[in-house]
Amino acid sequence: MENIITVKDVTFYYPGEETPTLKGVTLDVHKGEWLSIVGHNGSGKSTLAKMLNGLLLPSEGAVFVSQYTTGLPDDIWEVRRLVGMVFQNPDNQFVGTSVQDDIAFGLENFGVPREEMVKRINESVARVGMEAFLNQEPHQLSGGQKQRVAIAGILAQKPSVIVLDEATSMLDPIGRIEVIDTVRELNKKEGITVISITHDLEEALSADRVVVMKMGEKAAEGIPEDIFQQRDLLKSAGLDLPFSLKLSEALRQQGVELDKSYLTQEELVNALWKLA
Amino acid sequence: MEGTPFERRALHDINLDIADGTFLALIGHTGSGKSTLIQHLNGLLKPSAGSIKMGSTELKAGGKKQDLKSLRKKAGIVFQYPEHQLFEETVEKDIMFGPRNFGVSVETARLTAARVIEMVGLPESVLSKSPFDLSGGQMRRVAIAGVLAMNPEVLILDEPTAGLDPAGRVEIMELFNSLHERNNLTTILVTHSMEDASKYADEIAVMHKGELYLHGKPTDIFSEREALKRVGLDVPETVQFLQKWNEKSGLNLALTKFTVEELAEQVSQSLKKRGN
Amino acid sequence: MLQNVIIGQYYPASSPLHRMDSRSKLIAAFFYLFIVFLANNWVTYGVLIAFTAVTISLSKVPFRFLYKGLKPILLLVVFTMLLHIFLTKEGDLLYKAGFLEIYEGGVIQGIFIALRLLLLVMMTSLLTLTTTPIDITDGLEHLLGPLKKWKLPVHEFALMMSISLRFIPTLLQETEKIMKAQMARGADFTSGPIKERAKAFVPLLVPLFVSSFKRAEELALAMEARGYRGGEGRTRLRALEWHQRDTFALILLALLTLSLFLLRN
Repeated sequence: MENIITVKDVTFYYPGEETPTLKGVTLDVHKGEWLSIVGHNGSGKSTLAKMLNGLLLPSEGAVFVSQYTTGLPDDIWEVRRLVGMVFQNPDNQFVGTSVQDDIAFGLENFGVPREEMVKRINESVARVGMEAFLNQEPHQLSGGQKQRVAIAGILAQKPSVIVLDEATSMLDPIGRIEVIDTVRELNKKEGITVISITHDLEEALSADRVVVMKMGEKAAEGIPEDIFQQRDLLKSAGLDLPFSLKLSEALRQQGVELDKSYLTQEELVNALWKLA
Repeated sequence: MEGTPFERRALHDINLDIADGTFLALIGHTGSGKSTLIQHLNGLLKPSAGSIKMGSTELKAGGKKQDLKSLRKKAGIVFQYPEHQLFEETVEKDIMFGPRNFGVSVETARLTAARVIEMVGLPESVLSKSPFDLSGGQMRRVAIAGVLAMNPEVLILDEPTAGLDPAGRVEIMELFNSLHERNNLTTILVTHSMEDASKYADEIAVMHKGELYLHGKPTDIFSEREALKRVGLDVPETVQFLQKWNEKSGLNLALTKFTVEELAEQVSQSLKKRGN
Repeated sequence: MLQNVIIGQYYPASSPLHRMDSRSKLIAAFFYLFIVFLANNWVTYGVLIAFTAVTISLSKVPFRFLYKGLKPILLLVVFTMLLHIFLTKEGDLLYKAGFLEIYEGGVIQGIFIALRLLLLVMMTSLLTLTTTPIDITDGLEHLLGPLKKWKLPVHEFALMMSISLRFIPTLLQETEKIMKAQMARGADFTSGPIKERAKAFVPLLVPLFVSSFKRAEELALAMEARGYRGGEGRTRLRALEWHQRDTFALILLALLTLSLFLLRN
């Protein structure tokens, strides 16, 4: 499978710190996949996210995006165009005074001509379903809507990758669904690669692959079905266990002879029915 | 806002009695009026019509300057992201802010600070530190301690776990639960999480569009799955699973505590019965 | 309440004045500041009043909105008027009571000064009433553009302005939230002596500062992530369009100036 991002032996120290925040992390991100990165607070997952578009540069090792290298001054702007980031706080990344001004911000930075800009704004705002809000001001929008505007701003730059850095953690359940559904559609229909730093279990469960970060290192990497069988690993990564997994365990403790832990309710009900 | 085009009726005809020592979960989506309701409970907002009675203190619509201060002392509110209210040089001074405002002497307030810091699970050594040097989770605990220091008779929690990781969420909710159980503290929890409501509350009130949509014991509320779904909510996962199992097995099992353990017990017993 | 602060004074309407380019309005308002001082007799003041009245009626802004802008300076106007009335000793003596002497010249001078102030404030209010803050910012950035040659940070200034405008409502919401949180802890922002009240705002201001710094930091990061690297090579979505009516307005203003020159003493 073709890689869109390659993280190679990356170690990172914040200025003045003696212990590295990232220790020898190596990671391939496949083109078109949905990759979830999970880990407890301070595991280095957000630092890793900021490595992916050159907001932070590795102390050792390198990060490659397509044919570009984040550490090269000539490449950095192309890297930032290709890898868009949605941050945690919906308010603190909304630069413009209105929805269309905000979407334009990135395009203005890249010197896109005005006519092309208008075209791309209209097109990208429709892709996140916010076309009715073009002239709205940020304080009139919900958190989920602001995050969708942030996504539209990225889409207008014709990116290859969207990084969600805990982008749904400050939203209410409706906003969360709204944002995840929007990104999922972009991922499925348009093949945009998604890297999601998250605590959200449901989101990690539906990812193509999951990376578990722990103390600045990559502790595990694999498909959700495998990762979520490793109970202790998840606990140590500060992640809750999926409901069906918890129930499978509790059932086994009650003496029910399940062959394994199940990830979905349907699978578990069917497995139990076979035992009956 | 009254009489202007901006006027909007946020709450309508709410009648709600909360008995002493109750743990009430207030559920509803953003804009359902739950935050507006709790702000009425301690006089931050005054009703346009109707009245609020807390113990012997009453707040009436259109009344004169009423005794807001005693109402505020009785009902302590932990707002969303309470760490944003910290301002003093030391944790101790910050915790003393509430009691001092209500006329408690410096000596007594200091003793109170030492007592409540322990209640929220932080060491006494934290008291002399600057609140801004603490971690996010610790700051939240300090802010909670600042509310507990006023010795409220009712503790009102507005999404107290927002923005925390799963482990942090469980810790904070367990903290409130033990305060409720040990001190018989009347607790009102505003939440989006049906899981938390099912785990901790004796009573659940569902708000929708400024009205009280449902109110009752968890068992009653969860038997109205269709009504919940109509307003974009659902029963907790334990109940969802049990419904699936009941459908499959033709049984009519029911839960009382809504924990995974209770569910496992019920299901495994039903399996054993079938085995016999 | 929030609504008023957000849009500044802006009064949304569709009038020829609203449709004018913010640059021509800025130039006109600036120019007006000077030509008001050309008037020095009844005729020239008459011409100015007529011009201002026509402009106001064209703007479709109800007079009470203009009056709102005038209210804070009314006291100043009355004070300067009285000062002139009592202190100027020219022309015929109109009234005398003890040491108080009022001369005709003083009365006329007082009225002129008051008119001058009122006209000035009304015209500048009209600018902010018919132009959104963000349009004013854009206009300023364009007009001051040439100063970039002398290393004046015109782009940065304009960006700063627009970000400030963007964050005013956010900070107001935040202020309200923190205020409520502190009130719930028994804080009182509304009563007590002035000194006490000033102190009462510390619990509000410290959290506001802390969160604003955090916002600034996060915003800077988000801007960098979206490829921001200063004004160099940047294009703009917000375009200003100079129409015939803008040229026409400036020509009118030039005619007004000319007539003031001809009619003044």
